[in-house]
Amino acid sequence: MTAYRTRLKQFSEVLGTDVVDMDKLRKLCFSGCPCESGYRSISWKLLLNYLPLKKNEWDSWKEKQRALYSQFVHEMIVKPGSTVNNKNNADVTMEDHPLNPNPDSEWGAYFKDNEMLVQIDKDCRRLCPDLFFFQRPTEYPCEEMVNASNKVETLRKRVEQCVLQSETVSRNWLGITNMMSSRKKAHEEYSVLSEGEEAHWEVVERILFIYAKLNPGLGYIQGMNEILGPIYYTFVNDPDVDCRRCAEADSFFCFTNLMSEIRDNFNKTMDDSDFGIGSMMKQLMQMLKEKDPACARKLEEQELKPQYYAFRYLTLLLSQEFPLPDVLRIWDSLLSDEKRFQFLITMCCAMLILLRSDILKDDFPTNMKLLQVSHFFFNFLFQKCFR
Amino acid sequence: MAKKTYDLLFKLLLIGDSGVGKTCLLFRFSDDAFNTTFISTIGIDFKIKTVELGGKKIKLQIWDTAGQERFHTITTSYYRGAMGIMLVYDITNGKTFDNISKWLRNIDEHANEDVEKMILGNKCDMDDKRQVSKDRGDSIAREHSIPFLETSAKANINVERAFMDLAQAILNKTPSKDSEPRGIDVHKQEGSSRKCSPSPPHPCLAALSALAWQPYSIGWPLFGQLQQHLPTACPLTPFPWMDYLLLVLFIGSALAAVAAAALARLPSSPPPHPHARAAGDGHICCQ
Repeated sequence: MTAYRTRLKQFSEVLGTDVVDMDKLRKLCFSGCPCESGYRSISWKLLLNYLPLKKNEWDSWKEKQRALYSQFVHEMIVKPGSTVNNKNNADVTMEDHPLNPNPDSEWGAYFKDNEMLVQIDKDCRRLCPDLFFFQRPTEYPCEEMVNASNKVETLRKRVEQCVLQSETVSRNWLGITNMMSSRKKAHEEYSVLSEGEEAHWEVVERILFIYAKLNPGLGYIQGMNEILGPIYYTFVNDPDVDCRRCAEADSFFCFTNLMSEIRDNFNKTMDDSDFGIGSMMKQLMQMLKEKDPACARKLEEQELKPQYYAFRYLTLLLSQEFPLPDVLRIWDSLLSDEKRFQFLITMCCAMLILLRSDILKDDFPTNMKLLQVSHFFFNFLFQKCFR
Repeated sequence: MAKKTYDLLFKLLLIGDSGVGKTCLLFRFSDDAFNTTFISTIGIDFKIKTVELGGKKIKLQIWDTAGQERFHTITTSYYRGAMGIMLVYDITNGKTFDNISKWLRNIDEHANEDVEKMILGNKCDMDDKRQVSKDRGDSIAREHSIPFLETSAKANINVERAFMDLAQAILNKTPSKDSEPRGIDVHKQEGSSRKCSPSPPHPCLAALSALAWQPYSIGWPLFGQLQQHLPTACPLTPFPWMDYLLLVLFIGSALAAVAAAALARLPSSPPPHPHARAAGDGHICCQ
């Protein structure tokens, strides 16, 4: 307990200075950030280069960024047609409409965006399914949406499928024709929240949508949701009200910064380059060969390629391999790695070596399952990995 | 080392757009359970199930792939080794069905030529949200002569059958490939017909059934309309379908009578057109 208190004290010291000493912070974070007093949120924001080092600049910077984000929301998530409505323009032909073939038609872009949105929507609904958190309504839903200006809409509703109701005509023995609706009650897997409420996954959806709109070259790639999840979760569960209220905007920028470092992993064209996921996997295999040649040889013999398992470890920064609380702890270390993401590779290598006794004795399918099923016990790993 | 606990090893691959339920299908088959909340598959996933087919223990090694375009470079490398490929779409999402042809092209490009294929329309329990009719699935499958099934991982409809049919199809052609060291009773193989490939019906049969269906599909709704205008309290028979049958029989016999009369008059009537006469005389009219 005293050790924990000293840790808290160390954090308050490092974060209490006028100019944060990043080296000290990295060293501290590497062995884990305490959740108390929002140390983790602040540390991550610093480690992800979102907050400036000078403490007196924080407030103005945050204000500026949050305003910028709300501008993004206004610009990117606009219901087409809502801008023209208030003008009583006589020339109807100039108005935009859903069948407008012009390339700069708001409606055209709207339908195009929806294709991407369908994918984001699918993935956000199934983000961290073990956790109820993302299904819960957020304390601070998007103001523009709630204020019923109706310009900004819930993205979820944009892609919800509409189905025409069908009816069956049947007659009873008296010859009376009945129109029977065959529509059963839809299976609600996710409870619908009341108007003006938003679930956390919807907020995540909006962040990803805006990111994809701002990065059209990359767009949305599956797995990005898993990267954003831990960041958003951390900020929303912060004790500080200000951090919670602006979790959406802050997560967006932290996510954007993190993605700028790992976006090559998500880029198909970079797979075979020196920067993409391919080279990461190569590095991992190289390291394993050095540290544990027998294990590496066995995997090679069985043709158990790193694509089968390490692809996911590395792309998602291990976020699918462990339960969320453990992912947060692991990310403390991953993010405080100065040579990001060298430590990630080290850790994946350690995970393989930990399983070596099983790998060496089992056959391909058993090993395949071993490496794919998220079964790593964090405490076990913790003792071995972090010195 | 460990003794082989199976006779044959089949490698199967699941492909299709993201969110169509590939992982759920596989989970239903391998664990006989359903989970609505699956995380999205990143890269590739893997499951094993041993089944018995034709007296042989067959180990199915099933690869589950990520649906999104980005992962294709990784997933296409598995096409080559696959002996059977399941192409899944979602009946409640028309777009996933439209992409079937894209996936088929992928198979043509990357898989072995003799790979066994199967098309699955998943989520067939959600009939109230259906966007793709079963007929459309049937017709695209017939067009490419690939077996087709509608499945539901949730309601456990046809899942087992789909995997077993695909395995059977692979088993059926295994003996011809001499690569398999373990001999398989060839006679037995030839005897068992391939259940899963729907043999195209004889053209005459198809035409007949179409003719038989035509009056029904047109007549029944018409009849329903008619019934609405009839006084409701005068039932002809205890069962509505009997009314319909009687009506069809009545109209049918009337039509038959008219047709018979027309046919009887036909030879005596003069040919209405010179071309027709020329054709009738066996000459070919070239002018």
